Amino acid sequence: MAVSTPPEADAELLSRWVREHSRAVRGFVLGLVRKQDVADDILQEVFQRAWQARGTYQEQGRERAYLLRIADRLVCDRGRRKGVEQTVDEAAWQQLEPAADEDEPLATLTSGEVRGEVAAALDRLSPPQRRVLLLRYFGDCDFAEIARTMEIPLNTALSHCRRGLATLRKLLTEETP
Amino acid sequence: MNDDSELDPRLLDAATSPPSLEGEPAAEFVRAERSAFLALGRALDAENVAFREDEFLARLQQGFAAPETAPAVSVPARARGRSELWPLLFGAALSLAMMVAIVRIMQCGPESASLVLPPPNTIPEIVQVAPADIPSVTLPADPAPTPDNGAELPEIVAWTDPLDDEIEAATTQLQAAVGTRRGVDDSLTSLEQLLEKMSADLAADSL
Repeated sequence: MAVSTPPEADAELLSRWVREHSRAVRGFVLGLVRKQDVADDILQEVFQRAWQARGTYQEQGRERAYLLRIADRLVCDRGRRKGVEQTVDEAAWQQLEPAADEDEPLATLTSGEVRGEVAAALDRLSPPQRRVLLLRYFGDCDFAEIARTMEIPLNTALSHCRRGLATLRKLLTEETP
Repeated sequence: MNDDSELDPRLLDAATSPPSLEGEPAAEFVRAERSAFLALGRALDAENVAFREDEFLARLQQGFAAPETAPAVSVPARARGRSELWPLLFGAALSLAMMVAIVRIMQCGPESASLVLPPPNTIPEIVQVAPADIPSVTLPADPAPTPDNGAELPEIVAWTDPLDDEIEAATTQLQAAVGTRRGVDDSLTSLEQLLEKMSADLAADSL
């Protein structure tokens, strides 16, 4: 998809969007599709569509939620077209770098040994649970906004979050002595 | 072990608050959930380390400036192949039809064109109209040549229709019987003149 070149006045806005939100949007997409190249393609389409529709977008200080909503729909559309879920690439997950050190009981999840378990846990989540948790992590969205994005009732969004967290905790703590 | 029902919306919010707002959880028993949540997110963050915003911005701006050569919606390969096949098939069929038409035109040259002659039984009989004493025209004894007996006929020249001869013979006999060399048009003309004359007489009488 190609769109018109943004004028100089808007170039700064586009640059700010990319600086502030592209990494989070990509992380969200990557958590859903699990493939770097696919995530890159979807990320580019997200920003192109967002840029095209920026005239209709009402500025509410929620640019990231706006971008994540587009990303969520694109990933869902892609999933419908493919008809299958992406599976975990175990080798890619084994190459993850440690993000931080902390004293939490599950801090060892960031080590190379258990990242495959995180990927497996992510796979155990149902797609709605995954979407809720990833929107919560990367989008800083409250549950009402997540429910609007996913077009589900608020209680359903809360339920997905609750069950997803329980699944994560059980799977990860059982694997971590 | 916590039960799911223990996590009300407030605790859920505390357990899944963004990493930037990370602090002590509202309750000690959501610590495990929060840890699992953050571990999941950080694993994805680590996967995202290689991403460079500057490169992405450059690629994005390059995409904005690129001409619109690619379709907005990708077409499946099978559907695209099928859609490209139809014009080829149509063109091939059209070419074949044109070739057949040309061959048939070459086979049906002017020398082989046969005249379409009416069968002998369909030659209409000339009916006497007026005056009453005009005898009806009798048909000649010989039937009109047909494609069936065409082998016995001399070579057929274009526009030599035997029906014309019949009409001409009938006209000659009709004129001989009437005694005047007046054709149908002349009769109509004279009739028109007669009617005009009678009309003029009537007009003069009325005046």
